[in-house]
Amino acid sequence: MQSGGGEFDLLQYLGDEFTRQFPNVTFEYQKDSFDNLLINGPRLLASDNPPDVILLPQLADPAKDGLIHSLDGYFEQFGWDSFSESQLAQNRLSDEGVRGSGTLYGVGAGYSITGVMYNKELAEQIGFDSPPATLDEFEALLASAKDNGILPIITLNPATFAHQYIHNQYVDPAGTSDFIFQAPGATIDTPEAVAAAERFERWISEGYFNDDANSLDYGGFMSRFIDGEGLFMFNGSWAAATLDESMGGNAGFFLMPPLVEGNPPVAMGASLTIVIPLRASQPDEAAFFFDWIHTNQTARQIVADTTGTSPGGPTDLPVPDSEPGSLVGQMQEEAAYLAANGVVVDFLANATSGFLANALMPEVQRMIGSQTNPGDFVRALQEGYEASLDQ
Amino acid sequence: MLPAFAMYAAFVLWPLIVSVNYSFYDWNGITESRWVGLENYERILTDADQLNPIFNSIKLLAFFTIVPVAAGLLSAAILNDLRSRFLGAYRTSLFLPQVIPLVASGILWGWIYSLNGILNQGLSWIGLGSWTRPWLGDFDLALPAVGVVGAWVLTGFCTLLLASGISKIDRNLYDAARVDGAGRIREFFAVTLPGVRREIGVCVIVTMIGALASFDIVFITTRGGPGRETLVPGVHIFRAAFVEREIGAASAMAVILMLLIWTLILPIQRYFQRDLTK
Amino acid sequence: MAMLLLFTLVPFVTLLSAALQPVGSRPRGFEWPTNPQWGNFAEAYQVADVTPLLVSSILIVVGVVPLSLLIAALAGYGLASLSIPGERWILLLFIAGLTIPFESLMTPLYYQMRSLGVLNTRWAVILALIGLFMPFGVFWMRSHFVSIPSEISEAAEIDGAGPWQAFWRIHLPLSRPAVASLGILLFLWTWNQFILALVLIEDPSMRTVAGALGAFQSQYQTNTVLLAAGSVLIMAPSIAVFLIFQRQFSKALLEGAVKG
Repeated sequence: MQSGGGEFDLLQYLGDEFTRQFPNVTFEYQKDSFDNLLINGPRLLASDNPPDVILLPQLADPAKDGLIHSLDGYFEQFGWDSFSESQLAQNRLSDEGVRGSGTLYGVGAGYSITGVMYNKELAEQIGFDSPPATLDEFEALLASAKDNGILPIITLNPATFAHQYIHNQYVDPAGTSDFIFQAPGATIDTPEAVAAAERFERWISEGYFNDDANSLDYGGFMSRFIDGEGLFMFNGSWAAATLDESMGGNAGFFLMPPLVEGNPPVAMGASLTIVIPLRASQPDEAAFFFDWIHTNQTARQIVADTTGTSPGGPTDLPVPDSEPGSLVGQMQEEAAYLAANGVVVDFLANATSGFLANALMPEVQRMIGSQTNPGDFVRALQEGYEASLDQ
Repeated sequence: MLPAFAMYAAFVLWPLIVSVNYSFYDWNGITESRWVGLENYERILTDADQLNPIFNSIKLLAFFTIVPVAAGLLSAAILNDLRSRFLGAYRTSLFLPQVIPLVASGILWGWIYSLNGILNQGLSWIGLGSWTRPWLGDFDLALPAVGVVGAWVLTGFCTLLLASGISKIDRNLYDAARVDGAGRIREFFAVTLPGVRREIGVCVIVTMIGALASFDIVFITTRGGPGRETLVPGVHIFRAAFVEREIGAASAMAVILMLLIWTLILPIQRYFQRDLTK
Repeated sequence: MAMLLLFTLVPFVTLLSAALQPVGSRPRGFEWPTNPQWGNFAEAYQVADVTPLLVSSILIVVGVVPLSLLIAALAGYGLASLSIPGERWILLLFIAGLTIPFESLMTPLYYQMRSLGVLNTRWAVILALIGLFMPFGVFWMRSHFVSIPSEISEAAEIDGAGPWQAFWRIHLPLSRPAVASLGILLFLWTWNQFILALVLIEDPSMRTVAGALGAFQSQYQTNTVLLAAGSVLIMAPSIAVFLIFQRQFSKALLEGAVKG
């Protein structure tokens, strides 16, 4: 969804390093933008002569259509049971077409996490030095920023992260996963979801978001945060390297605090999924490459350095090196903490292929523009979800 | 004659028929399709959310058609009276927006409309600071803002076409009107307007299709937002076909769009028919 | 008039001013750079790797424009000057083509090109564009040929020239301005084509230059200056061609090709 532009570079760096280590294997690359890939990916899979490895933003439909090579055999062969299962789960699909369990169809070239980036200088101005422990404490910081003439949260359009950050703290993450993974009977229309939307509405009406929350693009969003125009930004590990580079240690990070102190943190995260097309000519080589990305120290370092995401893999391997005090380094630690103590859920946007465009994006925009109310909002999300499941 | 028709038939008419055929199926573009009859149409015609893009595109007509044709007529009429060596440069400048890729126009206007963009900068500068807003994120003004981009692209085109029409009008008609004591304005309505009827027809039809089948500008600037305020059939169809891969539903929408275009254009075309097919 | 001109040109000036700011700065609104960085264009050209895209665009244009012009002119002439049975219906069918939204052809075209075995080659775009340009091309050329006074054709007939000879010797040479302006239009439409290339060619380096803008946008979205410079680069060929040929173009439009 939000592409930092680095995804392609990552695969190319990994491929180059792989060729260096195994000179008999060379790669040919086709570069495309993330948006285009979203459109062309399924067709590329179905083509008569597909590449051996494809970066695939959405895996469920093509897997159901039998276009993707199962990785279950390789899971056994390479012993991937030593990997963090919560990271692999998103790329599993059951025979009933429910994601989260069943056949493994893809792995991640890095596993992202999301949370709250903050501007340390502005944080100092309102006297905040340690991450808030609860959502209420966080909201108090927003109010205090507003009172001091500082924009509390800068968000891009659509503000789907802002909504789901709150939603995650109210709603049982298992329920959220069921919804995203299309479990039978899953619903987002619950009292908890409405309560979350009510808080979201309050933040909007209090003016905690930028005026152009319904039109700011990713570039403007990043550059305005970098320029110090907002205290908080909701973003993911993929942005860490850019922020390190342009803010020189002035950016901090914490996971979105829970509703009740002591609850495990819940954050969105996803793998940058790579798959093997069913008709690929060299699936074994591709699978070996997948294993290598997760286990080879140099490869893991490349994943961390290029994307700021966690390389995943066996949980007993050390996290990749990083500059002390850098945001990238902090991301690696938070990712490890989250994997051990918290819950990672997928992005609501990934629930169905049309859910973001037809329901989530327009409805979140209507919330921002005060064109709807929490009850109707959640109901509309559920209706949009069901409509796209029916089809 | 034959090669033209063959190419046309192969790459326009045939896909069109195929598209109509698709619209009766539930198909994801890859696996087996399933005959569903009129179900795709029923879904669209009974769902306000699905019909909304059509109404949006009709609203866009005001900007894509009425503004360019009116401004073009006025501008062309004045051009015709002026004799200046800057005339060529003027015409060229007006046509520039038509020349660049629509994708580029979208990006360009995206900047102009942004909170820190030149439009808001200009408003503050002339003391209208209270009018500043993120135009493309405003529920009431996003559609007009997108419309203005369309007007920007199409006005030059209409001006040039209409100017060409005016220059073909027999000078004697103007002289005769003068002899009759007609003023500038009466002259415009009595001689110029009837004289460029055919060109107006072409402008209206071309710009109407531009509005109803608009895609690039909306896709680049707003992607249909905020909410569904600027969602147009083109973006809707593209998403259904290539994001959701509901080829049947996308095709049904495409067929409806086409029928709508024909319904709206037929009376206009009838009015100009004598000229078009004579 | 001045307002209209301002309305038309200000966006371009804004873009240019943004493109000339120092790389890494974040221009807001309009602000003429104190020290214009003309080197930005070279950098954007290099970063976006524009050369293969230029070559690709030129190949597609060469494949589309001359052939389209020839067959559109032939068909336009046929419909205007010869009495063909059902001519009215054929013309109506072409005119109807002007109203078909491209979106409704996109998906069928994809599968059609695949079965023809030309998917992912430039032929897919070339063939589709020629087909798509026919309604307008034929309509344009026909309106032009209709405007040629019938005395000219009659004179040719008296000279004993058949319709074929009349076309090559008399009508086509007389139509140079109409053909030229149609050629420029087709060039622009081909050059600026984005979606068709996106759908029919998977390898972005085989698409058109305009197609690069989208990829460029997502890749350099935090670098406003380079994006602006890249946008200027991508517009430049279209604008250049238009400026070079605009005299001919305006002449064709304004003089209506033949003085009565």
